[in-house]
Amino acid sequence: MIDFMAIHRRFHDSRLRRAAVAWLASCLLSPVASYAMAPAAEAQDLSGTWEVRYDSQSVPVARLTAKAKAASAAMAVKDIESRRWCRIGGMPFLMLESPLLIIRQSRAEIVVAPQVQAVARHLYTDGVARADLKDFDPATNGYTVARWEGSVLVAETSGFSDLGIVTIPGGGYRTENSRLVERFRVLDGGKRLSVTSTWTDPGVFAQPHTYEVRYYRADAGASASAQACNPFEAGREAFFAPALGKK
Amino acid sequence: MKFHFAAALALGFSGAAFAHHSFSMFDMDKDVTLEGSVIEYRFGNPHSHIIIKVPAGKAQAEYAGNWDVEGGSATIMRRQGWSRETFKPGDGIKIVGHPMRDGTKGISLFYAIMPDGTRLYHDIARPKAD
Amino acid sequence: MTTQTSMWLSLVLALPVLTATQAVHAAAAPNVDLSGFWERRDTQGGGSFGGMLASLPKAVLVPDFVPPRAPSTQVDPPSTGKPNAVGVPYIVTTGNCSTSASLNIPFMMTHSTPIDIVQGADEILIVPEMPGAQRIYMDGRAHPATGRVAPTGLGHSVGRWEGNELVVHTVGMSAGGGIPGGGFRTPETELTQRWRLKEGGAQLEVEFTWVDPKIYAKPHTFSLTYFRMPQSTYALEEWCDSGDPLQRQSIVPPKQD
Repeated sequence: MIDFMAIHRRFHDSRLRRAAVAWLASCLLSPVASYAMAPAAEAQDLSGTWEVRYDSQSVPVARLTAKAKAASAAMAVKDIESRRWCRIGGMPFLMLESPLLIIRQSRAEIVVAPQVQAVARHLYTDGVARADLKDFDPATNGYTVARWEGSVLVAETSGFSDLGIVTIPGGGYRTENSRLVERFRVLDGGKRLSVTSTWTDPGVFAQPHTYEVRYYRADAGASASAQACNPFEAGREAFFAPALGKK
Repeated sequence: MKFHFAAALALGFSGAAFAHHSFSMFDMDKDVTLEGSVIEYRFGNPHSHIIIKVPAGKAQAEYAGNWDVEGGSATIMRRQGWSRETFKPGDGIKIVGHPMRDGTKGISLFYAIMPDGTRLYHDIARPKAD
Repeated sequence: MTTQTSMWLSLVLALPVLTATQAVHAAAAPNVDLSGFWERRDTQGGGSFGGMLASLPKAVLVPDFVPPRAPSTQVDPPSTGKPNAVGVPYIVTTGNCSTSASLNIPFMMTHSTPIDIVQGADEILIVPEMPGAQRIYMDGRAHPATGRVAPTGLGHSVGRWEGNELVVHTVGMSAGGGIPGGGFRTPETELTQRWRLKEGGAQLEVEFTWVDPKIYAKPHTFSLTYFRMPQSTYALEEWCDSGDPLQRQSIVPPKQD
């Protein structure tokens, strides 16, 4: 038979009581401590596997500069050449053409990993100062810092290269002077993810070009993996030849 | 069996940093120091190259001439402190690298020795322990 | 029974429940955060990049093992004994730098560019500076049945926490080589990685164990150590272009005065 009274007496005058109180306090306070480590009070968890479907895009026609209109056809061919050689696609290709996007976030950043031939994006949310962009080479994804404005994640990107797949939906193309502001919002109780993109580039757009993509949350069991691309697979060159104006 | 084991070893030893790149033409166990001036500095992908002129002189008579120094990708070299501005034509330069086996004036960069004596490595590898 | 006795009785009865709750919490999300950028370093003086891997244990292969037919990107210049003429480049690769050549284990983990780890409760992402990312499912799911999923360079990985150690099991990898110590992999090969922090979190040790009775006479085990990079680290992008002739070549014998 357990002598609860004896246990009670020992608790009153022993280190065991202090230990028990400390343990209980840690049990009760650990969720509070975890919450305190969250990045912002209204920050959302964008983590998940997100799917582009046929009705995901709302893209108006971009107002282009005369120079951009003249260059658009050549840029389209350049993109086909990039696809033929499995070049790294970059932005905004990866946000639109990856059937599934994997988003994961830590305390310092949000990573957007595509399935297609593109490098994962890093959206730094920690506010930590990073080296000046002039110290880096331009990249197809550019370099992104992000912040929470209430429940909306605002991501600002510059430092783009003009390599890879450069076409922007609605018209225009990415250059080293392009800048992108995206607003990520979780909709419908977490079932949808809205990303509104606004591109500016004085050489390409006559006015800022904005469009929205709404992703669907994919089945949690979706085991999407990156697609491999082989530029030397049999028949690939012939397959792309007509699009590139080659026989 | 011998052939297969040799193939396995070769694959195992091949530098992962250069998984796309055979280094069989370089003597990776040999370190050579070249000192001269920069003719051309190309920092980029897939590999950076520095064309250097090594003057004739008693100290390095056997190395006199123009050399192609091959470094790593811009991504790898940036992590070690290199940039597009590290060298420009006309600069003095001193490098240590692994020379080609066939006598061609080509060398795989190991590190540059900067004017203040510090070493600027081209990759994460470091010299063999004494 | 007094009020005080009832209170302590309730507490004692609640202990197992609270403890179990804590245990579940610990198994799902231990007090370990691997998140951040990690890079390999040469702490022993390897002499060259290949030298860094040379000191790792050699794989013991089964007798008469025939390496799998897998595409290799490396091309050894012909040993003619004659140097190339001025301006004629030495060709050292097929030029294929795409995901079909580089998105695989162990290349992603043995490369000299960093990896970025993003640790979530139900999934951990290992992100290189090239296309692709390794997904480690932490939600308790099983591997897909053999034959249901086409083998890929990264295979299918599931993980679990054993105390503060992350144990990752990978299957379904496509055929290839390049495993330190002279190993190979096929779709039947299994890889177990044990990830553990060292030096107060400044270092990350990953122990690899490759098992495949058709390849290895005994499990092939080695460890690689990664060093935590500053939080201000930016991910860079390793651009490559398989269509660029420069991608295939190395030294170009320079013109002499």
